[in-house]
Amino acid sequence: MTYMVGGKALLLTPAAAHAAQMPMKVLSALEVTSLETICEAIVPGSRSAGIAAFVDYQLAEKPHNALLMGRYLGLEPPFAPFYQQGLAAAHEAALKQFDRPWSQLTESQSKSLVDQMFTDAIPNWSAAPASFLFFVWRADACDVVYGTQSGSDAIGMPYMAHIAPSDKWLSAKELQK
Amino acid sequence: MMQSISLEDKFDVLIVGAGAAGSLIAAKAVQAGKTVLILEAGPERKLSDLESSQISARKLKWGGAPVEESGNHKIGNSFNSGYGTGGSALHHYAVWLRLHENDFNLASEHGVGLDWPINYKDLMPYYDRIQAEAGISGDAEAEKWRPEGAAYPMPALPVFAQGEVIKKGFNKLGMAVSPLPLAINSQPFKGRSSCLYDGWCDAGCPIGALANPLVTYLPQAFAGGASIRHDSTVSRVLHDASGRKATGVEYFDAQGAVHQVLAEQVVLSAFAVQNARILLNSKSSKHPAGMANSSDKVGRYLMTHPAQLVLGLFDQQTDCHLGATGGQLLCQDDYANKDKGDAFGSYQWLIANATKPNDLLGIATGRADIYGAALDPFMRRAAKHFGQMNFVGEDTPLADNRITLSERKDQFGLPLAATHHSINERTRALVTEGVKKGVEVFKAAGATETWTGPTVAMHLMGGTVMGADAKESVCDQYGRCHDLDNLYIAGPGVFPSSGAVNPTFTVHALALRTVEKMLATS
Repeated sequence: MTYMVGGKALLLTPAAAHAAQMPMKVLSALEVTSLETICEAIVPGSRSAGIAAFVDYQLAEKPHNALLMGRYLGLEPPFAPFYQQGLAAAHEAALKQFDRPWSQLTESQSKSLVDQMFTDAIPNWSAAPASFLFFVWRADACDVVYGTQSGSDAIGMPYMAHIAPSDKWLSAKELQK
Repeated sequence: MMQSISLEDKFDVLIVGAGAAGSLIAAKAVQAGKTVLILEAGPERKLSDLESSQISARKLKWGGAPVEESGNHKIGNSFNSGYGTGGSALHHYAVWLRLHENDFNLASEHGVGLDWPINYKDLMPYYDRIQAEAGISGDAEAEKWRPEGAAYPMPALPVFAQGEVIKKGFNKLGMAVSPLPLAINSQPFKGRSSCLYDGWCDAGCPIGALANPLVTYLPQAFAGGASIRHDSTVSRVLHDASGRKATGVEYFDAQGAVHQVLAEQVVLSAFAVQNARILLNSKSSKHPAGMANSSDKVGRYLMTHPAQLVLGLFDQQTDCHLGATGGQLLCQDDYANKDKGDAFGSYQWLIANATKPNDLLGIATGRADIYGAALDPFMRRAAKHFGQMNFVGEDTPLADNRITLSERKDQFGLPLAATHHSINERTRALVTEGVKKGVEVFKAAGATETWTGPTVAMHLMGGTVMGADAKESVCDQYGRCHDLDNLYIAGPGVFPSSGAVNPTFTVHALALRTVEKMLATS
């Protein structure tokens, strides 16, 4: 993913962008923390793998360049409202059930809400079906955790690239244009 | 948006869409001395763009105007279509199978759907010629269900552990399997290298082992002088005063400027949905219901193979990342019998698909019920012991499954395509019957855990069907529109029925018939 810093193009993986706390282009601070917390409960490791940076970057892309799996699932561009409305509904559910935002929930509280998302059991959910959002966010999180060379290698599956993905997926590297 | 119209050069042959069919027609036309222009809606793609990543692979899929989808079995246009040089064939899995003799006469033999205006014998020599040109690896003798035809030019690709493990289940139930015929080189072929078996077909093969248009017919087309314009969205076909002759097309470039290009022959090869969209949008006083639509059949008989994965874990190590995405083995034991009572249609198994951890067909996606702390242990186990195979069923051609124009518009002000596709009870029963058998196979193979995916749409066909009767079809057996003398349609949209085999080999064979007819009459 390419960020302009000091007039230079900086190519970062989602994980590196997360570590560097690169500014988000689409998602608000609350949306970022909600997405990270939800995805971490669904796919452990996705926060540090840069789930928020990955999603935010793709939401800012032109639709035909966006690399979100939601493209395959009937999502129509622009994709941001789907994510943001879902995150707003999730935030609302956390407030109603536990009187605090999702990012401040305990692990068991977060798991409880994720379980409810998976089964569409959250009352008065005001976005795309919660189970569908769960599916999409789980897929996004699996992308950043298992869809990279390091992620594949970590579970014991050799990556075996023909053409190694460009730096935006595999390694943090500065590129001065 | 710019509204001025730029009138440009005239070509002998104008081709809309740079996928499998358009590329082949372009190559053959320039070799016959014709001037050729290809208009492609998507961007330029090169082999060096084809990074080995399921994430990067998504850029190869449809990225044009949204396609509306409805029905109980939506067509999955975004996954099944391509966008850019090579079209959907750039990310196809190269499972090149022939239709069978019994696929051509559904209406006359079963009272279902439509008949083709040709039979297998008409198409066989074209299959033979295409496989000699593009290359297929397989074992024709082992395919006991295979219709008559020349043996494959290359030996079959190797079978890896996943295939060997699942094969035992078929054998225990008395079912046959053969190597899967793939347009992937098992040995160097015509200057193209052989496969490395690392399972990145979906991301596009950059080494030339898989017969995608970037290494088959587009190089021939460009060597012969064909031109291509990317980011060019065709809006309508133009015609002369009589309405019987297409004179060219109108298209929008990426900046929204409108252009008109003239040609002696016009070929629409923009895939099933967009071909119909262009025709329906080409209304005029001579063609008030859209071009080539005096029969009211443009858009109708939209088809997609109902497909479903059977998946499982085995005690044995499966090395599921190895091989081709399309699979390693084939079973068509239930192909010959279409009329199964409550169920109708042929089906086949594509067995032991190379699998990655993520993405739509990846390990993780098939088990959305596993999450949280349980996910990583599952992924580690599955990385070593996962297996899957794909049920591919025949769709029944139904007139009400169709492409129409939406009230909504794209960035150029053109109506979006609206698609409706449902499967009937007999097709649903076919899927249920087949998948039940597939689970039995996995259990017989010793799967310690078995699950199935949802029923999904695989491949797009129909919408501009060929036929002998101009009142019941859009084009003739060569793809020439009944209503216009020099407007041809190429690609899977002309299929009157789907069979249960992957369509790309047939697309090539039909396109070869089309271009040779076109050249003979021009």
